Amino acid sequence: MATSRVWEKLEALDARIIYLILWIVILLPFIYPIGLPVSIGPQALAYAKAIDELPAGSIVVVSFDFSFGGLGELYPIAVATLHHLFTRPVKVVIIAIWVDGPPIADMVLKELKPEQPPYNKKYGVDWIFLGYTPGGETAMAALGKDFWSTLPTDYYYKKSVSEYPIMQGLRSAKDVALLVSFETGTPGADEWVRQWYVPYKVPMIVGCIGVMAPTIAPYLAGGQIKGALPGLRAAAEYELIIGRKGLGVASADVLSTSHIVFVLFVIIGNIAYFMRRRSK
Amino acid sequence: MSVALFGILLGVFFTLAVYTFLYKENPYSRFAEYVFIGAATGYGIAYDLDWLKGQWVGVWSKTIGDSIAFVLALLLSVLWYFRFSKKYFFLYRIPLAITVGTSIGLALRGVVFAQVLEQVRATAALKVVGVDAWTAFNNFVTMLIVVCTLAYFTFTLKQEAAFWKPVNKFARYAMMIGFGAAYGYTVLTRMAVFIGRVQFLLGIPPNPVEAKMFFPWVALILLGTLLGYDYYKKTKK
Repeated sequence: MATSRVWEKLEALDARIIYLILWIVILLPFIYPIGLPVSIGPQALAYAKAIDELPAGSIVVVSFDFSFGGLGELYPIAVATLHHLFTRPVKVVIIAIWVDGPPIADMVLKELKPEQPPYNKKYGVDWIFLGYTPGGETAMAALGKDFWSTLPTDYYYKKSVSEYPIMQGLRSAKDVALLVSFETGTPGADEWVRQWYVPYKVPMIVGCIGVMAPTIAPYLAGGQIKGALPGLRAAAEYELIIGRKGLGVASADVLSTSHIVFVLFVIIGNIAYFMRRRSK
Repeated sequence: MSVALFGILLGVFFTLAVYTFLYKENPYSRFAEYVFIGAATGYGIAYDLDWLKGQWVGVWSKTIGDSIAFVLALLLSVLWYFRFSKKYFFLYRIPLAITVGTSIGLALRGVVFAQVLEQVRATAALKVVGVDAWTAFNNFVTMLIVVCTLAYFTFTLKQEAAFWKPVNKFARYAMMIGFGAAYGYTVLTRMAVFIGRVQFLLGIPPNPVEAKMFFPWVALILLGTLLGYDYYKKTKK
C-alpha cells in the first residue's frame, strides 16, 4: 500500500516543482558550461551550401517572417545567416512579411554592422532594408510580381527604391537567386513555395522554429526547399559550419540538459502509471 | 536612470511577470498579458499605417485614377468595422468576401503543384536499388509509410479483407511516430523560447549585460510579494 501511495504521489507531482527543476537545469549550464559536443547534420550543410554556391553579384532576398516569440530560436539563425551572406560577394535585400520583422531585422543588423569591417558592405549598393509589407500571401505574390510598387520606399531613409543602385537589378522574383525565410508559421514556407517557387522557381532555404520541422520536411524531400535549419540545435550546427560561434552554440548545453530532464520526467511518469496500475 | 536602462528593467520585469503564471494566475502575469496585447495591437496598426503612407506617396498619388482607386480601397477597408454593428453587419461581409476570395484564389494557383504533385514526384523518384543499403532501407520505409497511410484514409472501400488489418496497424504506428516526432520538436521550441529569455535575464551577449543586475532583485520582489500575499491570506483565515 505504501509503495502504491508513492507512485500516486509521483504521478500527481505539483507542476511547479517540475518548473523549478527546469529553471535550475537551464540556469546552471549557462553559469557553469559543460561543453557537450554538437554533431552536424545534412540539412545544416545543405543550407550553408546553398549560400556558398551563389554566384558573385546574385540577389538574395531575406525575409523576416516571425514575431518576438520566435526570437529564442530564430535570432541566432538570422545573425549567422546574414553574417554568412555579408561575407559573400552577393547583394542582400531584407524584407518582412510579419509586422514584428522590421525591429527584429534591425536588432540583427545593429549587431552585425554590415557597413563596418569585416563586411564593408555599402547600404543601397550591396544591401538594403525595405521593411514590412502587410497582406501575408497576397504580399508575397505582389512582391514576386513587382518589388518597386509593393515596397516603394526603404525602411531606414524612406527614400524611393528607384534611387538605390541595388534595386536597379531587382524588379520581380525572376531576378532573385535565393530566397531566405526565417519563420514561425503562417504566412511562411507554404505560402512562399506557392507564390515564389511554383511560378518563378526561386530556390529557397528556411530557418524555422523546431515545431515547424515536420511541415518543412515534404518540401525538402520534393526539392522545393534546398536546406532548412529547424530550431536552436540546427542554429548551433550552422554556427559551427560557418565558424562563427554565437547564441546557438552557447545554448547547446542547455538544450541537452533540459531535454534530458524532460525525457526523465516522461519515463518517471510512465513508470509511476504502470506501477500504480500493477499495485491495484 | 537612463531611458535605455529603464527599458531593460521593464524587459526583466515583464519577462518574470509572465513566468509568475507558473506559480499561479496572479495580477503580475495578467498585467503583463494585457500590456503585451495592447502594445502589439498599437504597434501593428502603426506599421500598417506607415506602409499605407508609403504606398500613397510612392505609388498611388501619381495619377487621378490611381488616387481614386486608393481612396476606394481605403473606404472598403473601413467596412471591416461594421463587424461591431448589429444593424449594418452585412456591410462587413463585403471586405470579408474580397479577402477570402483573393486568398483562396492565390493559394489555389500553386497548391496543387506545391503541395501535391511535387511530393508525389519526389516519392515516386525514391530509389531502392543502386544506392547504399541505409538509403535503400530509408526509401523503402518511406514508400511503405506513404502507401499504407494513404490506404488508411481510403474510406470509399470497405476494408474487410484480412490484409487490411496489418496495413492499417502499420499506418497507425507510423502516424503515431510522426506525431511523436512533431511533439518532440514542439518541446524543443518551447525550451528554446525559455532559453532565449534566460539568456536575456543573465545578460548573455548580445543581450544587455545590465539585465543580470536587475534579474535577482525583480525576481525576489515578485516572488516575495506573491508568497507573502498567499501567507497573509492563509493566516487571515
